[in-house]
Amino acid sequence: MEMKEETSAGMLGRPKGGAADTVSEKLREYYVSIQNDGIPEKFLDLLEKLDEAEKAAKK
Amino acid sequence: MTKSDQSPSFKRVMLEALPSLRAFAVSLVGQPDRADDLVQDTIMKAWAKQESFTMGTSMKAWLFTILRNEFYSQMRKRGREVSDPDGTFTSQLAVHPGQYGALDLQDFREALSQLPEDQREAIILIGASGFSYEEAANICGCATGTIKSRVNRARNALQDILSITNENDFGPDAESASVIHRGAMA
Repeated sequence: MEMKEETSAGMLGRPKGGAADTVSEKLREYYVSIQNDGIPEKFLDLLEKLDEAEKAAKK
Repeated sequence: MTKSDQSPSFKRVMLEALPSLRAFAVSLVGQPDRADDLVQDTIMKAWAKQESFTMGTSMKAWLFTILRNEFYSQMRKRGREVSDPDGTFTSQLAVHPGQYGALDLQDFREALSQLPEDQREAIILIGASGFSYEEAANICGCATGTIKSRVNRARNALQDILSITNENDFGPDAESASVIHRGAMA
């Protein structure tokens, strides 16, 4: 299933007036700002550990 | 395909979905620390049941569903704590401006936190995470029409809250202003 960012975001961003656009834009701006923080180191470490533990268990 | 063949790419696909998953968690929960705990729980849950994931389907939708279920199950366990009767959530928002998201988005974050969870998740999934109404309905386990009406209600509520916010010139005193607003709605 493919994500179509433009489709759903566009539906939300094109209602009656300017106010709705502002809400949609702010929401996306907020979300993207969090997304751009990247992945915290602790999550990368956690995945690494899970992966290693799984490999070790198989030996 | 055996599990060990599948494992490295499972990890890789999961990594790709993490920034969006975390953005969903932070915007849904409001508190970055609790959101990160939720992401961590989701990673572990997802890892433990990775065999139930079908490669080629949307990892993002799969992870979002796990995180959402975990969020509501933790909320049920914590009971009223999450509904924030004492405004601890509000103070935390006011104390840590700019800790997540840009400073000028603080008003928006505060407005979003005032929405009921079901409306908040709907507008985030549709308006920011890039899911279709059908996908969002699958994630939330409800009808497509329900998602549509929640998104509409959320959008209208945010417009109302934000126009009040602007009139009152929300500044450093955001907490008391939001309390007044909450009082007015109660």
